Amino acid sequence: MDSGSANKILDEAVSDGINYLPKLEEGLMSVVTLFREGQEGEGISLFQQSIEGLEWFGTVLAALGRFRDSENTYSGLTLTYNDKLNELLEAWQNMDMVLIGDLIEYEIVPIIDKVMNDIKEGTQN
Amino acid sequence: MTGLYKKNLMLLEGLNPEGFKMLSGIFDKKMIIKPVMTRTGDMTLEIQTGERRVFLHSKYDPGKEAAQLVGRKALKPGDMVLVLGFGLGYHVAEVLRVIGDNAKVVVIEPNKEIFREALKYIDMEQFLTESRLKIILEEDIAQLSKLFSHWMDLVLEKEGQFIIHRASLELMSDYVKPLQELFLEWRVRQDTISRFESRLSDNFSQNVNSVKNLPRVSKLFDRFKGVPALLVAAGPSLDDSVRWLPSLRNRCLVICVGRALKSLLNFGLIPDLVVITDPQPSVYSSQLEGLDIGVPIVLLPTVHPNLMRNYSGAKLVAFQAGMNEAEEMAAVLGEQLVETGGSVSTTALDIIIRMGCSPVLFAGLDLAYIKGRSHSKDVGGIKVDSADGFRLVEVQGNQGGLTKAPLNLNIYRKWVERRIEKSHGKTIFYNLSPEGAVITGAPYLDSREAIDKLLTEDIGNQKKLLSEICLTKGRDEIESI
Repeated sequence: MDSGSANKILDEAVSDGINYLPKLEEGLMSVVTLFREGQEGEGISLFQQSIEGLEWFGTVLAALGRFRDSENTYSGLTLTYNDKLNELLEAWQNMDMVLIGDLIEYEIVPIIDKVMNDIKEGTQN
Repeated sequence: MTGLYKKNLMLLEGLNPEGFKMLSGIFDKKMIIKPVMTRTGDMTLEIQTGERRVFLHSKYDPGKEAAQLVGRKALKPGDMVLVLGFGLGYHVAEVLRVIGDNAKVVVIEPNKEIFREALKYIDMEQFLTESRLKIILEEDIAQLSKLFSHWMDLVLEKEGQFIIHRASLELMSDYVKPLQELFLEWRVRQDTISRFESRLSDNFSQNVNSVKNLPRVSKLFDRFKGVPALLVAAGPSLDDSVRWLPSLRNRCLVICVGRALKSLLNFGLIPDLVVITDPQPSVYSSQLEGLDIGVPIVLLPTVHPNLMRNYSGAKLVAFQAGMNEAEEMAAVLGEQLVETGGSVSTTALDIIIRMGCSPVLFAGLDLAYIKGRSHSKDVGGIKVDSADGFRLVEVQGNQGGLTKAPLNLNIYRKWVERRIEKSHGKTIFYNLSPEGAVITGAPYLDSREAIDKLLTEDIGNQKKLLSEICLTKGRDEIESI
């Protein structure tokens, strides 16, 4: 893929992200709340629905790292994100709802927040 | 031994000698416990049992996590609160913070290994000297069961609250695992109620005027003594029942749940009565719309108003126990309450028993997954897997081996068993589901045997009577039938 077409795809992903990321974040925080309030049934179901979104976000983050990362911010974020995603999957395998809630709220959502803000600022400038 | 641990042990010995005695016993040491300092400077524990590692509390902010768990319960000052699992006490401290001076909190901790860790890392003085708090440390399953029943009765009597610390529950020792299932069931039940609570109230208030004018289900009670009835639920075995269900047409009253209606119609069998309890707006469009069959339906006053408005056949209302508004209206109208048991099938069973029917046969009441399916194909009985939201538990199947059921179906099965027991032998029950879960009190019976031995008479007159009663409105009219 040449950088021109990659940038085009990235533009589309960023444009999708403006609409989608707040929903993903909201969904993830609902998972946290449901787990902490003891409603695992609904929490698990919602978490399963969020997994695709988490994977999509990982792809966008990697693309940002490859094509729009003059200060290497996104490359670092991608590494952190992938680490946390692996931890999340391990927590899921252990059915550790406490850790799943923690990782989502304190590790993953802040990364989504940062990208969301960057996108907003980028579209405003 | 650290100073904190020593101090806590001395306090425990003086203020909770039973607990102290428990800690003096032998430890199984099935767990590898690692203390972890959280971001807020509090402690949590990372606990490994076998291959599985879990955290007892948040490793970032256990106080916030506890506030979320307790906050959902909307505790009021003076409440009585039963807590399962002390953990490191964050949620217990939060409960004590919000319930005020005249409250009572009872914590049952079934894991002494974890409690010993709490003594090592938490200053227990705030808990052990707290007059509103009673901590019970117990690992014996029989004792735990007794304690739980005792305190739960008090909580229910005083309309208090029950809080489960999930991570503690997960870490209960193997020998108290049977109780774990009971606690989880309690949770599923509470979740189901709270999930629908606001919708139930909204629907009820929109239905109030229509409901007042509807004929009531008690018109049917005790009118069908000794008349055989078939309760048709929408479990996966309903798909195979197509072979024999139509042959029962005139031999028993056929009473089905809304979800099974389309399957029955596909088999060419029109039921005598349909029971609908689900408050969701999609029920009318998915179960009744376009059928034009005019079968009488029994509904709760909490069904969605679109069903109340749009269904043109006869409707009878059943007021459910456990829902305040419904109970109040039933009291004003002098109407009997029905027990719902949490699902539409259990509600239908209660109604059938009150009608006086016997024997009562169950079709499609599998109360378990069959070949990985949750429901009949006609109602979208998709394949499910173990991570489908509820943990699966193994239950005895009618084929002799074990089968798997999610917790909610297990709750319903236990409810059915209790309801059967409560009928004191006045009603005879049979289960026609070959692959479903064993239902105590309803032995499995082959459908052919049921047809040949139990359902030998044509009961056309009783079916006609049921239809006539459903179509009449006033008490005088009914008594004249």
